[in-house]
Amino acid sequence: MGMFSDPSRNMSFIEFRNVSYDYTEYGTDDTEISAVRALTDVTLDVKEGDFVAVLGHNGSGKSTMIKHINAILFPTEGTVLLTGRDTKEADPVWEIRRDAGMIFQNPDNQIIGTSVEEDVAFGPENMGVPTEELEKRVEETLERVGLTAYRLRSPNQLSGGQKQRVAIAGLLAMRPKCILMDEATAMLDPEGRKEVLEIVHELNKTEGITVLLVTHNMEEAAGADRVIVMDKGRVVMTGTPKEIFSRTDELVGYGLTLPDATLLANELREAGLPIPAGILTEEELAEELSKIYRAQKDGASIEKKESRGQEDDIL
Amino acid sequence: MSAFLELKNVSYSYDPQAKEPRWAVKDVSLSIEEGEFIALIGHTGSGKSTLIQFFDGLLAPTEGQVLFQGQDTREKGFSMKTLRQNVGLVFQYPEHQLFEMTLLKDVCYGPKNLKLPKEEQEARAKEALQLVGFTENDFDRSPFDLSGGRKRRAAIAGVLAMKPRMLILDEPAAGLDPKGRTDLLEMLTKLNRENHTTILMVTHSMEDAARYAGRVLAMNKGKLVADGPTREVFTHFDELQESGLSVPEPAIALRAMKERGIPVRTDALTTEEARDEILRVFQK
Repeated sequence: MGMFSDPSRNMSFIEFRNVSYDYTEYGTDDTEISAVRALTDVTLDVKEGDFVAVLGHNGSGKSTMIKHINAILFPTEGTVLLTGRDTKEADPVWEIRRDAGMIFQNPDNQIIGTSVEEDVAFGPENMGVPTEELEKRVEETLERVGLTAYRLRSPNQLSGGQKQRVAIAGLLAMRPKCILMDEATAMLDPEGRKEVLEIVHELNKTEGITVLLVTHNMEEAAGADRVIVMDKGRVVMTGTPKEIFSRTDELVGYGLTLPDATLLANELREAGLPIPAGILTEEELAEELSKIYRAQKDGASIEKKESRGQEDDIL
Repeated sequence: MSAFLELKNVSYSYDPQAKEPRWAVKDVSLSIEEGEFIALIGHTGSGKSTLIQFFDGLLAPTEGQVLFQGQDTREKGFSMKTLRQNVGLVFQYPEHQLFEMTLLKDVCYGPKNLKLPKEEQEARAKEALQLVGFTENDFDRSPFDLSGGRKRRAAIAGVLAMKPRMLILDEPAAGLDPKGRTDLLEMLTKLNRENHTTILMVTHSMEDAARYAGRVLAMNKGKLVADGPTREVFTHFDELQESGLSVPEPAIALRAMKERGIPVRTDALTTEEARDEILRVFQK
């Protein structure tokens, strides 16, 4: 099971087969110095409708990896398939890019239109979508990301989170099967981060759009179905968030960390509280602690009546 | 004694002539003492970036005063140059401004512009590079061959070489991986403790503000809505939420416990504090 190729299935949604990628490093006088290997023998398999988080320190190959999915980069060795199509042989290549759209880190680098609706229409218009259909799509997608009221505004007047939502609407207007988020929440404030993530989760749940989310934020990764960890251009861990975040030492070795709730749960377990493994959120932790607390109370209520007064003082 | 930096009823509008001017910053007063480590929080568009530009004179307020060591920066004879040498501003993604062939040359750029003698330029650059964690072996390396976190530290060294007494950083850890993030923030803490550099850091991370800053400023709609010791500011959960902000994750866990009837205090700032508080309640 899991993300590695499963021989019982003959076609997966996204498939990497032994993919390596080299880029050329140039000297100051533009001479080629050397080929640098950015991806090494990456083999993985993403199912349609999966929500996958990709973790790894800066320079681990995350961005390079996902840029292969929508044919921004092509493998030096090996094959990348999107719905069975080899990205290298895709003709025209924009069919691949339409099916898998990318949201980049800096919202200001991907806005082109002078108004929100113009920006959203840019992609489908270039694809030759007829005017009537185009208008319908713009309306629909702006509604979907909750920005209908901003339709005629200049994108410059929007917050970072709103700009990213405009970019998402622009992708949706192309009817993609997959959205690739390349640290697309890194520059947003907590509110903006939340609104973008909610929309992406919603699209994944209700429309089955496959999502690959490259992030440095462990809480974001905890909300995914699956997590891929990359290090030095290789895929080094795959699994559910529960599986991945229970392998603390390995993660720390790769320069990563745990969600805050998991970290706190681990510390409490080490101190002797019977908290099960696999805690990912504050709510889960509070739920477990309240079970333990109730059990302690029930057990102690007979002998310890007096001490309750003290506890009430703290409240 | 006058404060190191002080804002007195400062307002700023991009269209002050309009009938109803829109205010990016409205009536903000605060003062900063040397040696503080301050976090400035607020959602996008709350006025944070406008505010920090007053501190090194990049923007002059539409109304109100900016005082540097008691001196009005608008007064005749006030030297903006002095202000800018004392207050270094590090923009978002400062590594985009690296340009030289070697680390040492890049960091020398500032002192060179101060027209310092060559030996002094290099001495300052070397000191600044060492302050942010580079060693002599790195001086001749290309800044472009460094990892993201180290590139950013190199860019910060470029500002430190001007020997500012205060450093203002706009989201210094944005986009860094967890280790790069911790390394950078620990480096700032060291600068603050050992070098007594005053730090003002704009951040979207409540956890970083809680762990590293002694004082928190919160902006919303151009107004300063909170200013106080970190622990105190983060007890105002509802007000922070209204401003599009939050409390640190460990405090969220404690709040979730309290909602379930467990008598914990909810003002922990770090995981360690939250752990100790929970154990205190459970081991009674």
